[in-house]
Amino acid sequence: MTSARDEILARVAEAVGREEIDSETEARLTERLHHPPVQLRPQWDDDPVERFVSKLRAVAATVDVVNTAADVAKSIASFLREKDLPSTVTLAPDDRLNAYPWPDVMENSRRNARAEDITAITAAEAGVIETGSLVLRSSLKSPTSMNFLPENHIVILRREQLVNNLEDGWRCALETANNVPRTVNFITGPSKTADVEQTIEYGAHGPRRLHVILLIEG
Amino acid sequence: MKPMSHDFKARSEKALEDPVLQSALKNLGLGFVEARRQCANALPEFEALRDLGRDICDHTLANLDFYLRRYEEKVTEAGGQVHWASTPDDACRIVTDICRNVDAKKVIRGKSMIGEEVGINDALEEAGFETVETDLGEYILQLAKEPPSHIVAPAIHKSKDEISDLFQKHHAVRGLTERQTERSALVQEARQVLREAFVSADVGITGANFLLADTGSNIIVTNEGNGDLTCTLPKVHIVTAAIDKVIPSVDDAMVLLRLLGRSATGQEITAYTTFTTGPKRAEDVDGPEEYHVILVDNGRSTMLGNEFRDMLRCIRCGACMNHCPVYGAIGGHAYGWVYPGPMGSVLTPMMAGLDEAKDLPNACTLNGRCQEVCPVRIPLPKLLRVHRTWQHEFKHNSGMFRFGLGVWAFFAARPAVYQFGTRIAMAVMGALGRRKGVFTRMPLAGGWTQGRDLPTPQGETFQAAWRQKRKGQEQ
Repeated sequence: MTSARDEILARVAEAVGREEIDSETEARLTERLHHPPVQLRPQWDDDPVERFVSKLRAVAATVDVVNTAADVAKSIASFLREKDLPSTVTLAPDDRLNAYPWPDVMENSRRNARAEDITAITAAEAGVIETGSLVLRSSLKSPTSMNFLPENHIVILRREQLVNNLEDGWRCALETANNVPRTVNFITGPSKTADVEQTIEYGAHGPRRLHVILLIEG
Repeated sequence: MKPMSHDFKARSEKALEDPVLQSALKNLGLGFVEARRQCANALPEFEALRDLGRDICDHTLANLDFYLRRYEEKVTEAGGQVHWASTPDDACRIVTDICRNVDAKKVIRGKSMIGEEVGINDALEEAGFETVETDLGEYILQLAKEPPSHIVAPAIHKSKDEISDLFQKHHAVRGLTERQTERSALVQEARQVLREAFVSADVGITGANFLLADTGSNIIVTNEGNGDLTCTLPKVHIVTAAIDKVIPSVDDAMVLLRLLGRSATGQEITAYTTFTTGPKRAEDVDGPEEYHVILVDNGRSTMLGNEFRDMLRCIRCGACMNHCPVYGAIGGHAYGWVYPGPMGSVLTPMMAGLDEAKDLPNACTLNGRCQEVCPVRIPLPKLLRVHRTWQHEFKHNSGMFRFGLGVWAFFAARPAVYQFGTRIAMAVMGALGRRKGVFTRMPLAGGWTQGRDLPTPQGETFQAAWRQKRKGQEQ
């Protein structure tokens, strides 16, 4: 008895006009997979930081560009205050976040997010200048639920993590992992929907607000 | 979903008289069409990317045997399982079997057109699983027991009032008895109700915008983030995808992603673009324990080998329907199945039956706007003409139509007789209609003149007028 797999593959092979793939074709296609052609990518002349920030703001994220590690906590505190949010936050269990001094007034738990959490803070792997996207990947340090469950998502990123194109963002996500991670997220703005009369509402299922802190020096 | 495409004419008439639908369709033109135009104009590389997108898809389709095998290998390496389904029934059986094997009770779904195509929800409910759609538009339609009317914005035909009524009726059992009338309150209420489903579901089913052969990854794009919660929180993640979703590598994916958001909603990129590969790793604290992919054929391998291969480039952006004057007049439900608009008029006959959907390829003015905006340059008008040719060859069109076409063909193949005939006809019509200036009724064309008047011809044929003009120029 032939399996559905064999039947489908046989029909596909017939449709593309060959019973089997000859070794030369196999080698050529394998080579293309290992060294994919460098495709055309969008180019621009804008200042990289300005472009990244304006792209994110254009999709309703808030962005603070800060100069020192101490400013990171300040930016978070003023974000929480302005939005009238409790000072209880969930910090990703990520040692990169130890670089920032967390003030005593902020109650923080270092763990994965739960459904009832109000605010989560994570570090990103990269920021994509082309689109203003944040790249996050699943790991012990950065569980994917943190990016989607809480109502507010704060992401911390350093200037040297900015890369030009989406392709570069993907490579950054893979660089620190031994293999392809379970999940790589490109996040560009807060969660939104236009399913009620084609009008945008924020906070459909994921975060209602996305706050990005870009650390330039220090 | 049972195709209702044979009822196209009656459904179109109903749609034309539906005020809620007509107002939604007017907004569609203002919204998606304008957003796409601005977004495409803002990217100088857009046209070159369209060529590249077409070439990437063509390359993949020409080598689909290789890429499917490689994709399967990579998914298996990552700890996932690939299942193959020739038919919608096979796909549904595989999905329900997986759900049964893990003792699932609640199954949640992220919006996917292949899920609609194979009828996953009905199959799951029949098998006794509680099934919840998590995309807000799809959730609204699940409550209303209606199919989607647009492939990107499924509930585009629903008014806020209708949604308020639906929520009040269905959420009362949860203690949410107040009728919400503000958009934000409706979205908030759905968030609250669906959050419960996310945290309690056993299985999450998503579609795939693309599958990557080089890594075995699955890509989904959403704005709501529902797809991400669907594939992160439940202990099993099932991906349902058609065999034509496979592309070689991440570099190819980025080209197509740049086209997809811009063409669909006028976004450079959607809020969430997510790559998932296999089940959670040993060190991960969240993510599914099991990862399954169901690769569905459902007629695609046949299309790969015939005139319809180009259609398999489709990345499901919906630009063709957004720009289609016919879709813009009647909306998606009139088409009677899962895929509406130009892409639906090509696909539905192939999947639901040539005879079932014979009206769809004819509901097209061949104005060509769909082809002008298609991000991967699918020659949709040409493919619709192929359907028309097939209908004639397989005798799926009416005897009267065939007779009329035969009469016309007889004359068209004999230019001298044709010109003589038209000259007489124009002269007679010009003389008969001179006084009124229009014909309000015509024998054999009652359907045409029912909705409009035919202006009286000037008395001579175009060819005669042309010859006269040329003569004048030569002198």
